[in-house]
Amino acid sequence: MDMKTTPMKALWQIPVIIVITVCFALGYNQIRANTLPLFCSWSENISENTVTEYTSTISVAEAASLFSNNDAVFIDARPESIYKQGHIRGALSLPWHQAEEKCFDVIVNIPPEKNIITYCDGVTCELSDKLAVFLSDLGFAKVRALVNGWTIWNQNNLPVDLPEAQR
Amino acid sequence: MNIPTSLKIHHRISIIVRFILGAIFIAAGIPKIMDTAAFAGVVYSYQLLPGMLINIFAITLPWLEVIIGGLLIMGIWMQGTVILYNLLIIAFISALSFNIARGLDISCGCFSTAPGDIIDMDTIFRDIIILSASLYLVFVVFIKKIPASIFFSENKKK
Repeated sequence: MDMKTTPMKALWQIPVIIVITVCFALGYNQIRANTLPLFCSWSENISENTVTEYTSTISVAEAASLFSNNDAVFIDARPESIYKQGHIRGALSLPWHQAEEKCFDVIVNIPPEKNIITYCDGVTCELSDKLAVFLSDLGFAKVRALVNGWTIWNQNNLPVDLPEAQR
Repeated sequence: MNIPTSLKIHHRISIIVRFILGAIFIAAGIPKIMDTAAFAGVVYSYQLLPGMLINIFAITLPWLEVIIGGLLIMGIWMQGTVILYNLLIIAFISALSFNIARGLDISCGCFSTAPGDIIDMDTIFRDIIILSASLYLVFVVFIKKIPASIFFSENKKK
């Protein structure tokens, strides 16, 4: 029986495990379909730039009223995979971290004077604010963010689209 | 060679613990590998890392979980694996506690990247149970110095 399992072995094992992990992680990230940029600035933009400059938010009551009059376009700023798990009924998906690549597919049919309501989830979520600023800069006049949108929409039992399995 | 019964018992328990803890990490890592972009969003919501590091962290951490889980189950490089496992669980508990303490209402991103699995005291409690099990492995590997091999018994001679 080998009792020579010395703690010192950890000194070389830990770096080796980390190197192997990094090789797998970066390798898989390169070959997968939707490669994620290693040092993307989307989160930097969110956390550092214009964090509090955009204060145009909308109340859930007003958002619901625009919704029932079919007078606003809702845009979901969360990642597409989360959007697919459920979103405000009729909302379009424009994940903030893919906003620049995908925005023209999404906004091409929206008239500039249309009410646009962006949302994400959680009171600390800033994706919707960032997306609202982004869309304003593109020339949309009436963009507002619904704070804590997904949660508050559900709390008010307003219409949502869910995947088939959850209906 | 005679092996004390207590060591045999520790050895058997440690195999079960290794399988459970390894499976937990693999189950936690795979959904994050499948949807790294969503996991990056979860990492961002924790508001602990600088923006530039979020993607690289989100790409690497799930693989670290899966590889450590796999090594733990296979019983390879136990010293390094057990230390890394404990460090990761301690890091998870710290990140969760810190964000609960400052009142962030965020999703855990522990076993999936979906929203809704909100962090709370139950999450911490769950991680503390995992930590106590992984500390047991520290005891087995570093203090009792029991090898990970499943042949740690008289069966070895066959």
